[in-house]
Amino acid sequence: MKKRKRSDENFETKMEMTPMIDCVFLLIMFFILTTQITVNIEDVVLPFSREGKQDEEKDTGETMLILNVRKNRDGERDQRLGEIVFKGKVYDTKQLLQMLKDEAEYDASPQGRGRDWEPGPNGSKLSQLEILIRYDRSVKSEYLRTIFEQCQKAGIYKLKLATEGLTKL
Amino acid sequence: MRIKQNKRVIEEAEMNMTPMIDIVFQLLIFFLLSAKFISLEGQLSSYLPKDRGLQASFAKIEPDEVIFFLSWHASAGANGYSRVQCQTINYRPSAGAASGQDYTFQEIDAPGLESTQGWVPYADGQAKYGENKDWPSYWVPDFVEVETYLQARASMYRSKDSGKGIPVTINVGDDVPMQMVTNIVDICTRQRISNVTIAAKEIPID
Repeated sequence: MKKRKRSDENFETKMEMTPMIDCVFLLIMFFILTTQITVNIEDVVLPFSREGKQDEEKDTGETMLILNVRKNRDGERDQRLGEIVFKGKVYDTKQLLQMLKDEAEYDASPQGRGRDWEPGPNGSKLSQLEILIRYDRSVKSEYLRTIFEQCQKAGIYKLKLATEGLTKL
Repeated sequence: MRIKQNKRVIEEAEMNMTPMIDIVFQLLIFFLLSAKFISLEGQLSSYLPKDRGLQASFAKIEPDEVIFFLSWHASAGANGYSRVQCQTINYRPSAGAASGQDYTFQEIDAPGLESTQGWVPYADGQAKYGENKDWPSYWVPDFVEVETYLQARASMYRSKDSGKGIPVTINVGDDVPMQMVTNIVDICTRQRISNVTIAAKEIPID
């Protein structure tokens, strides 16, 4: 009798771990996949606007390039200096043009997204590629013109500015 | 001796789950915190004009085009505030007015001064410009006046029944903060003007 009682006391209920681990792994996979899409987003203070609309098609990162213009990290003497960042790398004007040309080429190639060139004026070709510009609100706007110029050279005309909602009183 | 050996063989090796679960939770929390979602942001489309080549020159400016010039005037002295000035050429506030005038839009107190306490009128509400110490406040153009003017010009243009929206060009000085450009694009979007360009310097053909 004594022995039996002891064995009863020793009996422990075991938690079933397998379903929990399954769930947790699924969650991890989900977050790994979603963070990869948003990897090229820099931390910038976006300008506010009233009319900015959320993108209806959730294809950001797929059919849209995201260019960031953030505050220059070592711009101590001038807070308004900025830099153009794409996928974590800082671009100067020449590199930017080359990158835009490559991306437009890739966008139109059958190996890429295969969206055809649109005929432009004077026999030029226009790309279907969209570019989202995430521009810090306090950085001076000279980089915007650089981006517009280089996009025009690369035949990209679909540009969008990222904004945030207006701060309410 | 034999008995002891036998006991060892019978013992089952159990995997210790606790450290694995610890690490898995750490990973989970890391990805939870590092995930940012872009869908929360708004977007203003400002497509470049397709019909103009690289060499957009002054000859191609349409007579009805609205051109805004934004310029930055740095602060003068210790107490002086910097100013963003908004000007336009070919100012015609009403249909009968003579054309060809230059005009400077009114400016509003630098946010942070007593009179506005950091808020200035914008559209049908108020907006705050300038941010903390990183970005000292500055005088801004009266965007309500800009919008009223643009609305008048747009309706004049529509009455011509040309079918296309009025072309607007924003000519921005290098030092003007991005927020000012966004405001004008925002106003244009609200007035359903899609034909907005940001003026580029003359580009040499290479």
